[in-house]
Amino acid sequence: MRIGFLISDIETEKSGFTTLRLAMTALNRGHEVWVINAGDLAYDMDEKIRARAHSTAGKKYKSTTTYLKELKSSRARSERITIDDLDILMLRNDPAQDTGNRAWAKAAGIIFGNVALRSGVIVLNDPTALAGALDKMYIQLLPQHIRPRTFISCDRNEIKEFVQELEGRAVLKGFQGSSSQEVFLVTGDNRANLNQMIDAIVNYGYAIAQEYLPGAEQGSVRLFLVNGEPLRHKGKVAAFQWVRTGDGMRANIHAPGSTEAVKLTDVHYQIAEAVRPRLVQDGMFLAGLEIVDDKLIDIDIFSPDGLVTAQSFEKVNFCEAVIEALERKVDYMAYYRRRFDNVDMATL
Amino acid sequence: MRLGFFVNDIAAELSAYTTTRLAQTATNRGDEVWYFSAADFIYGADDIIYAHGTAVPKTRYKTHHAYLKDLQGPNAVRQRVTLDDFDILMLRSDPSTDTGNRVWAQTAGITFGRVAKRRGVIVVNDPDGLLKAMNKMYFQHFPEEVRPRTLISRNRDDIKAFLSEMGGNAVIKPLQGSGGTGVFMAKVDDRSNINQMIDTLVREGYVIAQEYLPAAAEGDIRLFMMNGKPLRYKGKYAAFRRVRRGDDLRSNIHAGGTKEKAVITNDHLRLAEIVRPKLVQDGMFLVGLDIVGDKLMEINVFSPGGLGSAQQFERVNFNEAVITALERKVAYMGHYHRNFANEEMAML
Repeated sequence: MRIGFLISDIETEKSGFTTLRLAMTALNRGHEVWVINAGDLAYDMDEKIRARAHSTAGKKYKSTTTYLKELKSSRARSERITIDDLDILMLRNDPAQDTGNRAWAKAAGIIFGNVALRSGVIVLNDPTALAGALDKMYIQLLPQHIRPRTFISCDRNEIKEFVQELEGRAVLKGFQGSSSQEVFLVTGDNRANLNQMIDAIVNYGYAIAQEYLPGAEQGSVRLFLVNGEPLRHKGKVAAFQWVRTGDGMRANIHAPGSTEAVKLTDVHYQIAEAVRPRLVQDGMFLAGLEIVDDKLIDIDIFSPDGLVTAQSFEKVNFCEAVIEALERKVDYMAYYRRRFDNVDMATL
Repeated sequence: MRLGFFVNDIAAELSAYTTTRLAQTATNRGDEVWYFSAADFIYGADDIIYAHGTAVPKTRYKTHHAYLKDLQGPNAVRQRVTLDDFDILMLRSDPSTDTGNRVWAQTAGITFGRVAKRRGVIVVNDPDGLLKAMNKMYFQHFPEEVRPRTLISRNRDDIKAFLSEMGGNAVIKPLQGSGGTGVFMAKVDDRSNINQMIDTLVREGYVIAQEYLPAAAEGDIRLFMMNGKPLRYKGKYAAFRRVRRGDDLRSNIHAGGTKEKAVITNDHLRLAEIVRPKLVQDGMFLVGLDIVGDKLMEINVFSPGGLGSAQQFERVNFNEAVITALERKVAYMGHYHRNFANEEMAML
C-alpha cells in the first residue's frame, strides 16, 4: 500500500515517537511510505492535494534512530507527490505542540485531509471528527459516569464556587490550550492563590475545573484503542502505567515521570467499552485513553504516543498490529473500488 | 419562542447590524430574546449548559437604535439562563474579528452549540457545518464551475507559478483567518512587491491564490439564502449590489464603498441552485453569497450582514421572513417532541 504520515515537522520529530515506529514498520513490510510536514501541503489548480514528501532510500531499517537520520539526510528522496493517489493518509501532528506562530499548523492536516477524502483516500483519524475535538469539550460528549465532575466557564466567581463544592481540591486547566500547559492543582495549601490561578487561565479563554482524583498522585494508565477496541496482539493489550515523579500536575506522558507495566482490570475495559460507540461514530481509528481510578481524564485522538513503551513491557510488536489493521482497510477499499464512507472505513 | 443570539461581544454590537434587526423583530413579535457574548457560556457541574444572558427590558421597540441602546445600557436584564431549555440558538458571531488574544472566542459558539444541539436546542447555522467552514477551504467543496481558479500552498514558487499561469493577476489571502485583512491584489506590473506580499502571508500560514475576475472591479452582489434557497419575501429577493470605491480590493462593507439596488438574474439564481445541496447538507440556515459575474467569490455562513440594506432597496421587511422561518422550526419541534436532527431542522 501507499501510505503518508502527516507530522508537524520532520526537524522536531524524535526517534522514540510512535509515528516513526509505525512508518518504519510499514516500510519494513514492503509498503511505500511518505513522511509529510504540516506546512508542505498544497491544493493544486487541478483540485488535487499534493505535498512535498520525504522517503528513505533504504527499504529496511532496524532502528528508528537510523530511519530518522536517513529521512533527514541528503540521501532521502524528497518529491512532490499526489495525496489523492495514496491509499492511506495518517494525520499524526499534535496540535498541542503547534502553538504561537505555528498555530496555523494545528488544523492543516484536517483541512487538506478533508479534501483528499473526495478521491477515496482513507484519512485517519477521520478529519471531520478531529476538527470537533480541538478543545476539551470532546471528552464531555462521552458518558457521564466515566468522567470526573467538570465545570467549564469564564466566570471567576462561579469557578470558585465549584472548587468550594469540591471541598477545595480541584484541577484547573485551559479549555482550548495545549494538553500540558497551565494545569493547576488546587489544594488546601495553595487556595490563597486560587484567584491568580484562575486569572492565568481565564485571561486566555475558558477554564475547565475538574474533580481531583486521589489516584492521580500515583499517575495514570494509558490504554490504546484501535478500531474502537483495546489494541490486542498475541494475547497482550497495548497499555502501560505512567508513574508520577515530582509534584507537577501534568498527568500525561510528556510530563516528568517513569513508566512501568500495568495489569489492566475490568474497570479499564469498562471504560474502553463505554467510549467505543462514540469513537466508532466519529471514525477514530487510533486513540489513547488516559485513566485514573475509574475515570477517563483525557483522550488523545490526534497523535497518541507511547506504543513503543507498551511494546517494551508487553514484548509484542503492537506497531505490526496497527499496520496490519491498515492493510485490511486497503483490501476492503480495493473490493469496493474506493467507494466507501471514510468514517465507516476508519474503524472497520 | 425562546431565542438566543450568540455574538462576539454585546458591547461591540452596532444598531445597524442584521443581528440587531432580527432581535428587535423577534422581541416585537412577542418572542423571548437573549443575547450571549463569547465568554458567557457555562458547562455546569450537572452537565447542563447555562449562560449569562442579556435582554432588553421592554417588549416593544420602534427602532433598532433604541433596541441596541437598551441592550447595552444600564437597564438591560442580566440573568443566568439554562441554554438547554431554549428553542433556538442563533450563532451570529464573526470569528474573523476575534484575533490576537481573543482567538479562543472564535469557536466558543460552535463548541457550546454542538453540545446544545444534542440537548434538543435548534442551533443555526448548524455548528458542525460551521466548524467545517472555519477556514476558506470550505469554499473549495462547492462545485468547481462556480468558483474562480484556486491554488493553496505555503510555497512561494508554487504561488508565483500560479500567478504566471493566471496572466499575472490574482488575489492572494490567508487560508485561515480574517475576511478583509491580509487580502492582496497581485498584479503583473507590481512584481517588485510580490515576494514581499507572499512572504507576509506565508509567515502566518497557508495562502490562497485566486483567479482575478475583471468584473470584480465593478463590485459584487450579495444575495441572501435561507433554508438553502434565495431569500424571497413578498416577491422580492433579499439582495443588494456593492460598488467598489477606488482601488480597494475588499468590496465588503468594512472596506467602504457604496450600495445600490441589485437586479437578480437567471445567472445568479443558477449559482444559488448549484450551492443549494451543500448548504442543505451542512445545515446552513442563513447564508450570504457574494457574486461576481457568474462566479461566487465568497460564501458568508457565520454572520452574513446587510439584510437592512436589502430591505432599504426592496422595501419589504426581510427580518420578518427570517423570524417567521425560525418560528416554523419551533412549531415543528413541538410536534416531534424535540426529536430531530439539527442539520435537517436547520433547513426545513
